[in-house]
Amino acid sequence: MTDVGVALEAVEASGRGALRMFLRNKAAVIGLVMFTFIVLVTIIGPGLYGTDADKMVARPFSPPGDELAPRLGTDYLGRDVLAGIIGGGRTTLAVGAVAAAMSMSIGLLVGSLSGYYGRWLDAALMRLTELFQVLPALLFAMVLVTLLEPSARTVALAIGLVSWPAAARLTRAEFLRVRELEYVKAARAIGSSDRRIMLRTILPNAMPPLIVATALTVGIAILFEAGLAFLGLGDTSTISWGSMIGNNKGYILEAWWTVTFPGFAIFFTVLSVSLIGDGLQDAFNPKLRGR
Amino acid sequence: MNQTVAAPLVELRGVSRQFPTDGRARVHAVVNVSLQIGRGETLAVVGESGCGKSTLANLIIRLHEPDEGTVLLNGTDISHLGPKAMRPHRRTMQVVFQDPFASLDPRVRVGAAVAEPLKVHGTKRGEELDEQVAELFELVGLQRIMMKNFPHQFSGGQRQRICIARALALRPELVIADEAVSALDVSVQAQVMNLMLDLQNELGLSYLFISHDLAVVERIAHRVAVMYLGQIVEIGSREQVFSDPRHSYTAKLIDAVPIADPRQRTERPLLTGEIPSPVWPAGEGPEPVELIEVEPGHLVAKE
Amino acid sequence: MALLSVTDLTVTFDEFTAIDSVGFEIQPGETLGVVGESGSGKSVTALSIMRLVELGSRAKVTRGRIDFEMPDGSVIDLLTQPERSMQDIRGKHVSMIFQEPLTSLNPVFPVGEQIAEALRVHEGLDKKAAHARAREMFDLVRIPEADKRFGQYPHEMSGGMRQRVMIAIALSCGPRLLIADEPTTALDVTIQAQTLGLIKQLQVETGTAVMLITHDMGVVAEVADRVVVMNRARVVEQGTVDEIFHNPQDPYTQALLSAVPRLGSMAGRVGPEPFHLAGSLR
Repeated sequence: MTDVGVALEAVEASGRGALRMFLRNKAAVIGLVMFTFIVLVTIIGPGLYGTDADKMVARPFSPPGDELAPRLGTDYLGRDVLAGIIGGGRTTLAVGAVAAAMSMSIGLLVGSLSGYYGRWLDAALMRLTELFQVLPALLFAMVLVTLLEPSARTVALAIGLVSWPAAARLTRAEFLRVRELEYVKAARAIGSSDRRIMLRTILPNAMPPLIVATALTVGIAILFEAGLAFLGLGDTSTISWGSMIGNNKGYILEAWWTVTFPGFAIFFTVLSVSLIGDGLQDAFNPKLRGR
Repeated sequence: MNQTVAAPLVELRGVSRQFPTDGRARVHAVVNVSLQIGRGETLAVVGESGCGKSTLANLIIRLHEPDEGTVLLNGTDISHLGPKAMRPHRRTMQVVFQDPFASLDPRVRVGAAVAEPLKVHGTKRGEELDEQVAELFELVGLQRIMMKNFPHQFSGGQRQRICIARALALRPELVIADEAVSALDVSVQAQVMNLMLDLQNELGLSYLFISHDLAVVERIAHRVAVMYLGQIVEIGSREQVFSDPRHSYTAKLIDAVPIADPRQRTERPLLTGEIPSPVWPAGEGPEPVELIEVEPGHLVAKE
Repeated sequence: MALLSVTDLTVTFDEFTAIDSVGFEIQPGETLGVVGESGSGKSVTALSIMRLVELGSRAKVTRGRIDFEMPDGSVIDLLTQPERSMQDIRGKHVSMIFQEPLTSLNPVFPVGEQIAEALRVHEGLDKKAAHARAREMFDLVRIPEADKRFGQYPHEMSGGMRQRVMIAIALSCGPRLLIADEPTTALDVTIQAQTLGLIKQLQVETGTAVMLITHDMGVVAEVADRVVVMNRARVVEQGTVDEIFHNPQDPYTQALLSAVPRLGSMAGRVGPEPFHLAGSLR
């Protein structure tokens, strides 16, 4: 079995009954419904809504409710704000998800090796982590994006590269804590290999805080993407929520709707992801189950 | 030495205490317990985890307030006294806990730790105080120069002696030993128990000796109470309870103790029993037992 | 030929000698009791046999041999085995149970899953076959209502049941030697009695040799065939259980035995009595 297979099976086994627990958490369910709605809108929304987000559809700065304008008004180029939210979500979510996945993968790998093996490997990996941590994240990401030419892919890469140290430190701390516990000694006593102990014994026990961290990382990555786009470093060929805010930032006082509605979209996405993360954390704690 | 004069030192009359647990269930920790502790006497309370023996101790020192029943100390009802009114009575009762490592602040010199109750309650200070602490150290078999050391410089047995010295600082009449020798190595345990017996003879102390270890209890107790699910199921003199156990649970406990003599090995039947839980749903509770006096001083729950 | 033969085993932590020239043998199918007080080195001895003592600590095995007879009759020195072979030996030929069954079980997995784990590591069984065998182990260690409990999490079980699960894990691959480090110390006395009875019974049924580490002379007297007494990193005396309890030669053993409370020894006495301590304890 591959490592990923072992880990997934371990998580699956430790998560049995987690769904029931998750569904009992009202806030988490609301978060899940919100997130599902947002994802559905970004996937099938553009087709259903029909209006091209890049097209000028009415007079620039038409306020919401204007008879001739679309429902949420238009921006400085006369583009439909609602169409932008529907169409720009895809980029934002994709960049957020890819960046979070990358950040967590690097963080998990570095943190688990560092925490489990300790000694010189820990020292070396932690110096590396610190190096990435002391780099000013936004500046570093900006340099990366500029060097590699702005596209959704490079933005995701840049965000992933600057945000993994937090995940690595958290993973390391959890591995250090769990490593010393009696059941890890017991796992060794039945002859489990290091790799199996890391994946099947320690990882599932380190999961709850890592799940929350993942949810937070998705949120941070989305905000980061927005930030880069706001600074004009996003992919200029596609619309994202961040670029909408960035492009309209000069007109915030005259045309509040051009930045407020994309802002709401980001806010609700980040909120829904954190609610889901909280719910998952509890759901993966077996001691809270069966109550 | 162990006859009871006028009022016993401690008397419990029908004391009960429940605790809420998660959901609406309740832990019936102590249920309708009545007992007496005479002056200069050791009453041992034995039972397994969850039987309520530690809650019983906390009720006597009024760390908990009883829901029902009365706790009398020297004939005075202390069941519902407020913190201020309780203060003079606190000197009368002191506790020695199980873990001598957790009971001492690692940053406080042991001499200061022993002096602390004297400072809180007492009038002595300066050299007089030092002298009294030194006397306490010698009383528990430690040297007075050790007063200046920190807890980590002592072994577990020595630390427990320090805890005993601290408990004795206020000249209490009752010392509650809550599993006080359970965490000690067997040789140290024997020495600490010998010390406790010496101190009892010297100072006329009463002990409430809480333990799960029947062999230890047999050594040290004048009287023994067996607790099961918050209730006393048998109480009597040591001889009565150990040589003539009348309650099935007492007999089961005694049978379960491994005997340190390979020539007395017994076949153990392959049982799979478990200790039932004292947690009950709201509105329900354990069936109260009725104690019957089978011989003078020997009370047994009807089964 | 002994199943396990420890010779001149010495383990140090930096300057401190944790065990010093320890030597003893365990015959197939016998129960060896290793008794001693805290710091005597008994647990370090056990962890050295499992080759778990050097892991993550500054401990170092500086001298000695641990010869173990494999099922095929070959004898290997466990101290010279590479980690990879030790992983094959641990849990399969030599297994271990610990004092605290709650912390020794992984809190996030159902207990049945954890028994299956050992079988999957060593026998390469698939999930279904491992679960079926794990379910049989539940019956072997006499866990009542096995079907219900198989899917329970450790925190949902009592201490006694958890220790049965630990025993089931340890015995699942049919080891030749079971090392039990204070297996009943954390249990209540009635549960301890049940667990000791179970270990004795399983030994008869499976023929596994047991190395029982304990501070409790009562437990040793009850289950051991032979006894090793350790004090301050050394073996001070070893012999049959009867020799140790009825004719101890070493002053430390004598002192230790004089400190043991024996239930029934006070019958007919009037008041409490101090221990009449021997030797250095006086």
